[in-house]
Formats: sequence, C-alpha cells, structure tokens
Amino acid sequence: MSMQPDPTWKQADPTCVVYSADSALRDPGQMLVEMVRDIRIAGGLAWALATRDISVMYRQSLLGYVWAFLPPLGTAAVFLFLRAGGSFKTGDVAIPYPVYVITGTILWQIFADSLNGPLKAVANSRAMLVKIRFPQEALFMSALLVTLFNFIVRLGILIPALCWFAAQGTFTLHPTSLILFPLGVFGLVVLGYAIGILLTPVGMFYSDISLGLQTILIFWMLLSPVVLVLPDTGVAGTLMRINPVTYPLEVARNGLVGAPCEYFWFIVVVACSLLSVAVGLVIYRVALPHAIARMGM
Amino acid sequence: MSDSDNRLAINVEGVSKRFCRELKRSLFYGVQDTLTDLSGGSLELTPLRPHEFWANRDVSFQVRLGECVGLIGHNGAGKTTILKMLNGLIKPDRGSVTLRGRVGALIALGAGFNPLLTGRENVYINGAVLGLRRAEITARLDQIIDFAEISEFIDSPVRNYSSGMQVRLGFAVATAMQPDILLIDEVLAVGDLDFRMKCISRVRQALEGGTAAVLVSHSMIDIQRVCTRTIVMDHGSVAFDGDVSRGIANYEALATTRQLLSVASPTRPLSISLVDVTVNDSTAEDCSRVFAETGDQLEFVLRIDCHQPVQDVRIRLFIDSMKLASTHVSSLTTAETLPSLSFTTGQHSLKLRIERFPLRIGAFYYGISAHTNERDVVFPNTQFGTLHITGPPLQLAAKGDTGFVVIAGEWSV
Repeated sequence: MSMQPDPTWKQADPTCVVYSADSALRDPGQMLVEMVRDIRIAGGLAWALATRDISVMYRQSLLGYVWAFLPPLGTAAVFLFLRAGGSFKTGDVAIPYPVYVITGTILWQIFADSLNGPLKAVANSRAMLVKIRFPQEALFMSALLVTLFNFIVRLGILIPALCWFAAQGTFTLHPTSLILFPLGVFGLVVLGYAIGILLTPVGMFYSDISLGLQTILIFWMLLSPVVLVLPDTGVAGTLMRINPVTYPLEVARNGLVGAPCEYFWFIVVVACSLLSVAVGLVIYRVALPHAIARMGM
Repeated sequence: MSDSDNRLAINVEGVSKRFCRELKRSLFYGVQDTLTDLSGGSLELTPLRPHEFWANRDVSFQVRLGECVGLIGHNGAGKTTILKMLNGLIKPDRGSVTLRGRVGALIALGAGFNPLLTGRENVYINGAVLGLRRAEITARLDQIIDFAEISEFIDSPVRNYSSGMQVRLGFAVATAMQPDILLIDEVLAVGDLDFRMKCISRVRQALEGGTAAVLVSHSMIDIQRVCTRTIVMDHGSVAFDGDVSRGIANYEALATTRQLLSVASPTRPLSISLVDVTVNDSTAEDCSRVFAETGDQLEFVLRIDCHQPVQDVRIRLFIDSMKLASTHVSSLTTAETLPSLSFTTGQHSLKLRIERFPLRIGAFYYGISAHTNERDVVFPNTQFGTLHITGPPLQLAAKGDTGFVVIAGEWSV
C-alpha cells in the first residue's frame, strides 16, 4: 500500500526537514541557517544543563565549592615547596614567585578546563545523544558555562590572595590589570575551547584522545610559563615561543604588574582560535550522526 | 477527507542504512564517512565495505497527519534504526527522509534526568532537552505532575523514585510538548496497567489532534489499541505495509518460519503426511504456512502409510492458538463422520473439507494425531504447519467485532 505524496509536499515549507545521504556541506547556506537556528535555541538548554551540572557537581561532598580551587592551589603549593627546598631555580620574574605560581596555576586550570570541557560534555551525554535529537551545540555551550563558573569561584580565592600580597608590599598591582587580566583569560578560554572542539569529533570515535589528553596536559603545563619560569633562549625558550598558551597567559599575568607582553602574537592566537571554533563546530555537526551510529543503541 | 487530514507528515524514500559488525572497522568507517561528508561527497556512492551489512534496505513509506503507524518486526529487523533516522540522529546511506513539523520522541523517557536533583528540577531540564522553553514548562508543570501522579514526591531527588515513577514523569514531560510527529519506541510497555492505559489514551488524544505517530512495539495488543496501520519489517526491509490486523498476521507468519518444530517421524504402525492444503480450491504454495481468510473454504489432503493393518482408528486435526501460548482452540476428528475407520497395509488418502472457516484474524498452529479406539496413540500430536488468517480486518470501532472465532447467530427484535 503506497500513497502518493500530496502536491503541496515539495513546496518550500519552513518546518520541513530533509535527512539524506548527501553531504550537508553541499548546501552551505542551508547548513549555516540550521546551525544558527540550533545555536539560538541551544542557549536555554545549555543554561539548564550547566545549572544541573553545577548544582550536582559538589552536592554530595562536604567541602563543596572548595574543590573548585583546591587542585590548582595544591599544585601551586607543591611547586612553592620544591622551590623553597632548592629543587629548581627560577630566573628573574617581575612578580614574587608565590603570586606567579598561584596566578599561573589558576590561569592554566581555566585553559585546561576549556580544553577538556567539550569532549567531556559529549562523553557524559552519550545516553542522551544516542536517543534524543536536541541542539547538540548546547553541550559545548554548557561546558563553557561550567568552566566559567568554576573560574569565578577560583577568583574568589585569587583576588583576596593578590590583595594580601599587595598589602604586604611585595609587589604593586598595576591599574591596567583590570583590562589585561580579563583579556588574557578570554584568550586562554578561546584557545582551550578551540582545541577542545577540534578534538571532539575525533574523540567521539577514538578514546585515545581523552586518554592521551591528561598526560599531554601535564607536559604542556611544564612547557608553559605556568609554574616554571622558562628562559628566553635555548630549546626551552623556543618551545615557549611556539607554545600558543604563553601569549594569553602572559597578557593576563604580566598585566597584573604592568610588565610588557607580546600583543601581536596574542591577537594572532585569539584570531586563529576563533576561526578554529567556527570550523570545529561545522566538523562536529557533520561527524555527529556518524559517531552516534557507532555509539550503540 | 479534508486537505488538512490528508497532509503528509513523514516521507521515507528508498532509505538504506549500513552497519559494520566489527568495532574497530566500524569506527574507521565512521571517520571515513565523516571525511566524505566534509569533502562534500555523497555516501550514496560508497559501496558496502568489508564486514558491513544493510541494517535497512530500500525502505519507503509515508505517514499522514492523524495516522499512527505501528512498526513491527523481530529484534534486529531494523525498526529502531528507522526510528533513529526519522529522529535525525543518524543519517541514511541511501535515499532520504523528509519530515514536516515539530518532532517529539518518546524514546528514552527521562533522558538527562539527574538522580541527585528533585523531580521538579529534572522536569525543567528534561523539558529543555526536548525543546520546551522555560515558560512553556512552567505553564504545563501542574499538568505534568498531575499526569505522572507524583505530586507528593515532586520535590524529592529522583534517585528516591521507583523506576515506574521515573518513567511516568518522563512520559508526562515528553507528551507535554505536543509535537506534530510523535516517535514512540517500546515505552508503552513500562509502568503498571493503569498508567499504560493512560499513556495509550494520551497518544490517541494526540492522534485525534492531528499528530502523526510511528510506534515501535512488540506488544501486538498495544499496536491494535493505538495504530491505524502497520509496517512489518523483516531483515531491514518492508515486508508488509497496510491494515493493522493483516500486518500482525503477517508478522506472526514471519515468526513461525523461525519457530516451527521439525515434524517427527515416529516408528509407529502408520505414518501420516500432508499432501496438500487448498484454500478456496486453490492449492497453498507452502503447506507449512497456509494463508486464508475467515469464511474461506479449506481442504486438507493427507496421505496415510500403513506398515500393518490398523483397526478402529480416529484421526484428528487440531488447531492451537499461537498468540495464547499454544492454547488448544479446536479439533476435528474422523470419529463423527467416519466411525470405526480401518486401513489395510499400504497407502491411503484422507480428505478433510471445511466449508466456512470460522476463525478470525490471527495465527494458529495445526497438526494431526491418530489414536485407536482403545486410546492407543498410533500417531502422536504432530504440528504440520501454521495457519494465518489474514482477513477480513476486524472493525473494532465500526462494528465491535472482537475475538478469534465467528459464531453464527441471528439477532432479532
């Protein structure tokens, strides 16, 4: 029993959706329209998912939000201890080392969170992804909201700490920090987010990405001016210069005391990151149906 | 029928989908397909690769507004894959799926529920996942809580809910969105009977309101209650598309090709084999699967091979219901018309003719047994095949005919 479609069927209908074997990229205009529409509806959902994740994150713990800043503070303490014991030496820094290391670890943490967020959000929502059609970009947006929330909690410890050190007279907070610090943070978030989004399509197929990421991030931190002060010359110096994290990190931290930083490279990094986010979103959208087909029923 | 009743909601045209049995290869193919898509190529051109098989093959059907199509078939027949393509979760490898209107899915009830959050908090999140705005949820919150029957628990964490309560809440949220197209996968089978009836009436209400629905279920009772049409899937393709009762009969016919017991060959004084079955004087293609309609004329031709003379034997054809776990429906024996039947050594022929077959739509087993008058079994109960009564359709709503047997009677006033 086969019924012929009525003649109005093929008329352009805004509520009509077609799924076919053709690539969505054959009609980039249509894809862009759908993407923008999805991202617009995704906002409310992202907010709901983020509030869910945030309110659940520490609901079953006694220390609660303390866990948001305990890990970076722990890392900072380890390096302060090692340095005091003479395990390593640092070169000249414009900022007292404790301030350098605390700011560094908290800034690094927001980069690492932004990078891990997208893939983690997709992995945690696997059950939902394979069963329900929702604007899937919402997962990325909620990951970003959670990252920002955690950072704001950490600011609650960082700002008093900075003020305390400043009151001790060990260094002077420069007024430009009010602009440069948020700008640097923005750069770190965009860079981390771009890498995270680009890795997600591959990470949906192969768990090597999420497995390898943790190890890579440890090395990456040690090769960035987070806890160690890297020299300007030699292999370490070259590594630091080709490391994109260096630039936004320096803008945020050097900005605190008004020390110089390389704005040109900062702008290049941010621009490339923003472009990568856009490209990554397209790849994610194209890869999703193929990944879902392989995630099981 | 007005124009709006006739509007097409779903059009599936020549859809095929392939899957790979091996994980590593499957992942690799997934990356390959993604790259094909990214380069603007079409999956239509990719042939079946090693270890791949067609989960769906050239599937086409249409669903109009107000129609509810029951998708039935065995596990692995490709029903869920079709539903996932309708939902836009996965992409067809051939053909296309066109949908018109807002799609709602009753598939994973309560997906995104977090056990630590309260019922109320979860309603908002689940609603957002399904595409409802916060204000829309607030407006329907009382209705949702009412329907789920959990008003006392709405502010306790979902982890303290029974599984039934979670499903009820999930169903209540999912149906609150009033979609144009409703996709339902096996969710009516959960919850207690009361709640199931409530769900079914909610789905019916939606259909009356002009929603188009596709329902996947293994419960033929639910299919009969809700659906206006069935599509039987077999090995990834559409095996039947049409009337509900005929569809169910066809589905059950598929089931028997897998279940049929092998015919025993006993070492007894006689053996009986089936030569022919005719329906309205035309020979059935396959005696092990006979298709007929209520009121048809049926004839069974048996061959009896006697290894030694047999005295006073009665031969019996029995009919069992397939749906009711082989419940015995009726039997016809030679004792009535051929008392003290005897056979000499050699081959004999025996015919049974039923003028107006009284059983209604459904699937039945039939078989033969033979006993002597001393109640000795000379040929044990042996199932010969299945009998599929595929029509005429029962018109529950229009006439109120139900059950599986026609009893001749006359009403008068």
